[in-house]
Amino acid sequence: MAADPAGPAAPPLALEAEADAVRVRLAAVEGALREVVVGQAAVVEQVLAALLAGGHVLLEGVPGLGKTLLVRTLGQVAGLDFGRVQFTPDLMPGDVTGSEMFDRESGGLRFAPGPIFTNLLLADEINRATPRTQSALLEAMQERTVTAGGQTHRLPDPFFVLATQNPLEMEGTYPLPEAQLDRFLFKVLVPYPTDAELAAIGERTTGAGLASPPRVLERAELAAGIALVRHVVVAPHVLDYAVRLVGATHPDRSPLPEVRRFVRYGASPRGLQALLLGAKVAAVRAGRWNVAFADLDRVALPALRHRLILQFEATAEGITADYLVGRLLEALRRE
Amino acid sequence: MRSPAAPRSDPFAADAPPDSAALAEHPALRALGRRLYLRGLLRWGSRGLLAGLVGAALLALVGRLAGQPAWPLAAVAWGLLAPTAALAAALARRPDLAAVARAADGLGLDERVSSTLYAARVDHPAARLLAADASRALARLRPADYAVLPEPRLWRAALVATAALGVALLAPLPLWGDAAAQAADAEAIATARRSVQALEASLTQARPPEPLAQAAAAELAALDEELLRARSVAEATRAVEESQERLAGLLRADDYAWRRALEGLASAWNNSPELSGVAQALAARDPAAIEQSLAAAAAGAGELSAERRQQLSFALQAGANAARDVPALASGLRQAAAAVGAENGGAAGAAGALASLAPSLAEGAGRATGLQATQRALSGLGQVWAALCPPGSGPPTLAGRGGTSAGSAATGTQPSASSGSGGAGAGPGAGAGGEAARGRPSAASAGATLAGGSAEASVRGPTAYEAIYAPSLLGGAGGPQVAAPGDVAGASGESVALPDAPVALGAVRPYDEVYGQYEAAARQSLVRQALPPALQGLVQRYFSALAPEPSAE
Repeated sequence: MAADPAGPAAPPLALEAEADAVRVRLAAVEGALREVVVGQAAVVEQVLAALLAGGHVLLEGVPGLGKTLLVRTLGQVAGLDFGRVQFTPDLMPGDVTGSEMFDRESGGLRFAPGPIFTNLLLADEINRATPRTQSALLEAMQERTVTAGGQTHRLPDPFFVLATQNPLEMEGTYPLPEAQLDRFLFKVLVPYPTDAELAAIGERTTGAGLASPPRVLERAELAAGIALVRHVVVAPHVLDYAVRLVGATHPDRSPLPEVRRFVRYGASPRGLQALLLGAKVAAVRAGRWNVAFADLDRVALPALRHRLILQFEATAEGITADYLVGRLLEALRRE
Repeated sequence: MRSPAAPRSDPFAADAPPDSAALAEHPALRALGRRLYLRGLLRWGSRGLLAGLVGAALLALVGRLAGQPAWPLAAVAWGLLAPTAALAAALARRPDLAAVARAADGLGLDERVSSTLYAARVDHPAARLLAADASRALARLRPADYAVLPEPRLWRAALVATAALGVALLAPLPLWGDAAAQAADAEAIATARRSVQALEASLTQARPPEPLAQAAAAELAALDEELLRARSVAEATRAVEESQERLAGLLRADDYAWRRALEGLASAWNNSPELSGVAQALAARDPAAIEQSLAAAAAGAGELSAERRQQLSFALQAGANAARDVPALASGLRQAAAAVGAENGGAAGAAGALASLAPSLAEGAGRATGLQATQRALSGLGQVWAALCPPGSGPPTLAGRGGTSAGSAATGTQPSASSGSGGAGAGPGAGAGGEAARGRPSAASAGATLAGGSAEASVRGPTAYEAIYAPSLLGGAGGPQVAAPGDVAGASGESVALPDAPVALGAVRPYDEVYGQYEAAARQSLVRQALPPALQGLVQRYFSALAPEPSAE
């Protein structure tokens, strides 16, 4: 894979070669991850999709399901710098972004980068930090820069945030504000493993040695893959379907009565971006140069579920965002 | 997204420019396009069929409930028009390449073809790659997988609509609201139109054509048009009444005088050997026969003896007496009688005198024929009018035309007074008033519009009248036999023959002539509004009941 991603003027044959290489590398990364992470195929697929789409991921699951392991292994096999921040209530913004410190040698202030200056940041249990600290991530996630002492510092490229949160323990947590939730490309639910997977986990993690996956992807190759995804074609009628899907999450525009009843706010334009980027990655992985309706359906849940703000009535009746998105996928015509 | 291995001749090769036209020529897409077109035809055809069936069922249902007679035509027209229009629309809408591409994508190509078209249109960097990918996918396409038959729900709906149409056509349905009355009105009006048309036909078929008969025929044609526009029995009845008035206005006293003269002549000459042929021709109202018989009589006049010529002169003189209502004819007859009876008159003079009568007698025969035909039409219209008024209903809208009256029907001997144009009456036995009725006559309104008698009579129908004095057979041969006063049964005495008596001279006036004259006079009175409106209906019904049977000729 060339270091320079295929631009708009790249010849078709070069693009085809780039695509083949991306597919091969992705398969390698996925294989390496599976050597370490047992099961969780959908989680792995969605995390890799977010990686190629250049977006951040919010992983939600109970403790002990391998979220941290997955992220750490991903950084390992993808050749990315890996940083981890365990979010706690007493964590300060500067602890994440870095701060200016007195430099004894120069006698002035010097910016000491925080753990956010990495390629792959694991924000573990992000909902345990205060909103102030959570907000410190806002600029970094969207602008990929950090401002301290009046100076803006660019984060490494690529930069991914993979945050985790525990859906069960609400005591002492600060639910992520909508603005920050919207900055995650995908919200991935990490399910509990099956019995077979559980057995495999037990066998694999209690043995004599732990698998150490090799590095199978270079940073530049990842950047090229990210650029390549942008070349995937979205036909107007497919784009129209995506727009209708996002629009239908809004109670004032939805044809679905359940959405009108249970949803307070629908997905933002970032939801459409996430939907399209995720679908493009799915198309590349399927060996196509165009987005199909099936691609959009495939990524609709992780791309939209965290962008629907539900009414209290929905919570009371056990209606989830996943259910509503699923109903929308059933209701909307693909034409 | 595999490495391109397609030959260079393949228009979708990665290094070949993507071309929409080339894509359109792809065999799989062409075959699919044909199936798409066929599916469109079937789908629109089934939709049109469904619309036709539903529309026809609705039209049949509403038409039957509302009693509209034209519903079968409307239902059939819509039932044919809807599928035809739908098919025509489908024939004109051939699927374009984009639609075919979408259909192909729907067969498992994952939007490859439509995306290829779009990428080629916008000159996307990956357009050629997409085209190559689409080409490979199209090689796997099986157009036969595309279902041509429309979705089953359309056919199910068509079956349901067919059943609904059957129910709408066959189920016994009541009529809505006034629909029954409207249907009855329409039927009555249609019957009246048929009668009027038959009367008109009988007038126009009369030979030779006579101006009075032609005018009467034109009037009946106009009435037929009015009946066609009439929306209720009340309107139709009013139109018939107005037509009766106009028709009666066509009759002139001269016409009656001519007819009386001709009948008198026929009666006076019936026993005359020389003029019996003329009498028969006059009775038959045949102008040609009249001229021929007069010519024959003139030709034989020269060979008559003096005594026979004298008798011929007397017969002509008797004819002059019988034709006294037509002075010109009577004068001509007297001159002819004088010419025939002159001692010194020659045969040529007698023949010439007889021949000179032919034109006027022929003209009179025509006028009498026209009069008779017009009277038949009047009589027929009377029956039409009576048929339009249902039994038990009161007189039609001539009664109480316009305005309201403060009084109700007055009976008995107490004077009643009412205000308004609805009518007024005063004095014993005369009452008037009641609210003016422009609508359909009813039993209730009849009580208010009849006057001069008891209101009870009005609800007994148009034939329930008190017995009246009648000098002869009323209502023609089927009428009641009434003995005239003075003709006492079993009386004895000497019978004296009076050759010059009015009866012997043909002064007896036929009933239809008397009826026509009186009815014409009554109508003129109605036109002048000499009678209170409440009484006008009574007059109409009176004359309708007395109308003679039309003689079959």
